[in-house]
Amino acid sequence: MKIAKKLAAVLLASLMIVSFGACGKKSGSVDNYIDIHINTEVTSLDPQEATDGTSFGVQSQLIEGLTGLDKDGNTEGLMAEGWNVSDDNLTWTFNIRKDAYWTNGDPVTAQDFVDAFQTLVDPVYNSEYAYMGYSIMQIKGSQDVFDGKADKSTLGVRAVDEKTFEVTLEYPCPFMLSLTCFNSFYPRNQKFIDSCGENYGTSPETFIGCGPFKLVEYEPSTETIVLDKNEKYYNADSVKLDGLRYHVIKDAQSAILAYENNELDYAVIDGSLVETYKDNPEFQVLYGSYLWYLSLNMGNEHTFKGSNKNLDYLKNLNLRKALMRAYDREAVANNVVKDGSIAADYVYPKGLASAPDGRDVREYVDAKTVYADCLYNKEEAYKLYEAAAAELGVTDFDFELVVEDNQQAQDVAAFIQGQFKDTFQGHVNVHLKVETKKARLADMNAGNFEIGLTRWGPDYADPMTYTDLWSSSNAQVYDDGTRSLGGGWDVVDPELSAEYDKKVKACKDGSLSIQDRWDTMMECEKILMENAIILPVYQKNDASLIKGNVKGIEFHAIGMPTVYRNAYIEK
Amino acid sequence: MKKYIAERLGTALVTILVIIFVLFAMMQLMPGSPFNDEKLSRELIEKLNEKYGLNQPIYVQFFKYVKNIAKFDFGISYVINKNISINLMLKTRVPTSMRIGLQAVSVGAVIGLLLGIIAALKHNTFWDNLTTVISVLGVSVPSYVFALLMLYFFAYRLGWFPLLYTKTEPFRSSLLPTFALSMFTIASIARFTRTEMLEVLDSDYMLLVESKGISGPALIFRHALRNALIPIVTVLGPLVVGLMTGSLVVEKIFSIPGMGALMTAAIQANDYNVTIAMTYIYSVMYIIIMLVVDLLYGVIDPRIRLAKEDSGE
Repeated sequence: MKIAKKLAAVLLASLMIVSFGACGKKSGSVDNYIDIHINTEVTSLDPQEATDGTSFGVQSQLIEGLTGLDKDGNTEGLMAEGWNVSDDNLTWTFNIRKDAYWTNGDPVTAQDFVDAFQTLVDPVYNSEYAYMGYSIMQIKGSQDVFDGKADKSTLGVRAVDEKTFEVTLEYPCPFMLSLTCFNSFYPRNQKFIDSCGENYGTSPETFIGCGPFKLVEYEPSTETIVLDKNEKYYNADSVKLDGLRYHVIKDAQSAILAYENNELDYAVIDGSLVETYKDNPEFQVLYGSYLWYLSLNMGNEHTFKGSNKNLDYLKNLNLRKALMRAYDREAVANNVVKDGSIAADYVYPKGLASAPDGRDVREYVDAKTVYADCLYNKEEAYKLYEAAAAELGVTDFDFELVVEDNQQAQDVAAFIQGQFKDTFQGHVNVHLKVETKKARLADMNAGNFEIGLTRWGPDYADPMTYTDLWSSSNAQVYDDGTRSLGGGWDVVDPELSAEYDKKVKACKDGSLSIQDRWDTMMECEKILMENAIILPVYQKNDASLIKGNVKGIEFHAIGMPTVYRNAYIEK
Repeated sequence: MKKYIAERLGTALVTILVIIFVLFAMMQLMPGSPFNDEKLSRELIEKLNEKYGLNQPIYVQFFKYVKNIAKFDFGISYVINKNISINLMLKTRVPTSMRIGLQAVSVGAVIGLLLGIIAALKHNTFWDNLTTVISVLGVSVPSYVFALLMLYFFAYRLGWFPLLYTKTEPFRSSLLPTFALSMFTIASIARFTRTEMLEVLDSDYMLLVESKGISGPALIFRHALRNALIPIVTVLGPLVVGLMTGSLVVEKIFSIPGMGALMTAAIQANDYNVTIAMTYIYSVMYIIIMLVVDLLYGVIDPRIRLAKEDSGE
């Protein structure tokens, strides 16, 4: 039939028109902007509200805190040009830069910091990071303010004059200047924020900053965020870039194609692609911060009311140590995760903090020698199992391991499952319970688990960000009023846990010298490791690709966002 | 007819209410809450639940929500964009997904119809076989495979299209996702059209029409295709909604800020308000499209129109 031929011709012609019309130039980054890949959306531009690394990263290009890190990781003044601390180490006075301005021309004042610190612990505002103020920095009166027992005006912060900001603490804080780098302590231009009402932080018009870059394109959960150089920045002359562009790309394959196509200058890559790119000169591994570990529920009587034998078994030290030595952490990092992550035979991650003598924490205490009794060793693990089996009068164990539904966590859990089976010749089995992350956290918080694969990222560059997790200040309080420490280890060994608690308290109340405090925190790690209170697995690092002509990006290991203010593109 | 439409609208409204209630109940059953995070202590979680009214009984929350929805206020997001109005989040996402979806449906329907007609007219020839191959491929290969293949060849290798969706070139950068999404529609429409057309072409009344001397486009479009359209429109309806509300994977691959991407994020994050808002929009769109499909039947086939008017009066 003639008509069919005509239709076929029309079809072909329209296809051709579409594809020719689509011909165009290949785009590439030729301008003076760095194109940055992020794999999650920014959840909030409000520093006192945000809780995730992506948001913190973008914020820190737009707003600066009192202090920051230089390229070597040392603290330097940003909004503060100088500071001093009283003899009792309780009162800190910061002098705000005379030439620091907000993007609308307002000067940055001491009051902006007073507003920020008050907002952080204000129970009405209810910041999820309020504990940074009342539990970590321990600002004077912060606990009462947060509990609603005192007005926020009673908080130990004040503007001595327009450019002098004073903070008073409950206890001396040896890592104060590292804390003031953190986003939760960034200044707030409250007058501007109030004028925006509920639209604050939702568009370039309703956002205000004081950092090296200013916001020019943004909307909530957008895929592209554009920042331009901020001419009002006090050190604008040193900023060589015209700006930054963030691109939210969730699919790893698409991101790598965009990088190869010069649409990105900096791409984060995941484990499946590391093998392909690890010999590429643009490949870099950045020390990440998260420690992944197995949390053991050592008898939260609260949840199982003694009906779960498994929790009683986990009270047995030999069994816990057997588990600790039964899986190959090097293999987890190098063969399973494969994204530059490293085996963790320790609690405090590499790159977390430096000892008073300047060495990294993992050089100060070499885990391979100090915790030699905790390392992977099949034979030793089996001997420990035999001892435990004799003590408990049980030969076969079957635990439930709760794990969240992301691929990496499941792969790691499945690998550990296999290693347990292999090491203990089938006598110790675990079965996996896969849940969404939210559900896993809900279950683990309620004590409703046996073994859990979980993680913790540091909030500040000090081992205390980990040490504190297993102290009484972090005790879990359940519905029926019972309390329990991490995994319930205070039930297992009340004496040891009390001793640990005493050490932590001493580290926090300023009674120890800097060296003694540091060594005490190292003793705490030793207690955790030797008693197998937690079973570390790996330290999550990030693999990324960065174009060779992009220079001067400053990466900071732990909890600190990447700094672009000194970055430039080589012509 | 008016009464018929009014009845359908009434049913739609009740359906939506039921959907919202079921959603509310399911949210309560879902493990975890929006505020589960390693960093949050129990007392903080309680304070947050209080702040957002999540500690109130479910029926109180439900009626409050329905009241707000009537005012087109979906509330705020708890997790994805902390404390930011969902209306603001949807402002650009809904139009983006709908536009790309409509493009995909249009391309899919037109190409699918043409392929189907050609196959039927050229029954048991090369063209027919080609259409069958395309249909089988289109139905069985997931859209993200097409998406990745197109991304690799047309955007990366040949450089004809941008790799990722950009707001600066909203049309050009939406072409690849459009084609990736339309493959399934092309395939299913082509298959249905072919079958229906073959049946119609074989019927006695087509013989009568032909013997009356009508031929060419008039024969095909006015007589054959019109009779074949009813089942095709039925299939197309749900496809339209599916495509307009955004495809999860294709949106992810092309980095399109659409509804599909937001929906997955919301479910994973237990962001209750966002999940309910998205499902609500989805349901409303579905109900509207089904209503349109019903009305279209009447336009296409006078017999249905007359029957409905009879029962409606």
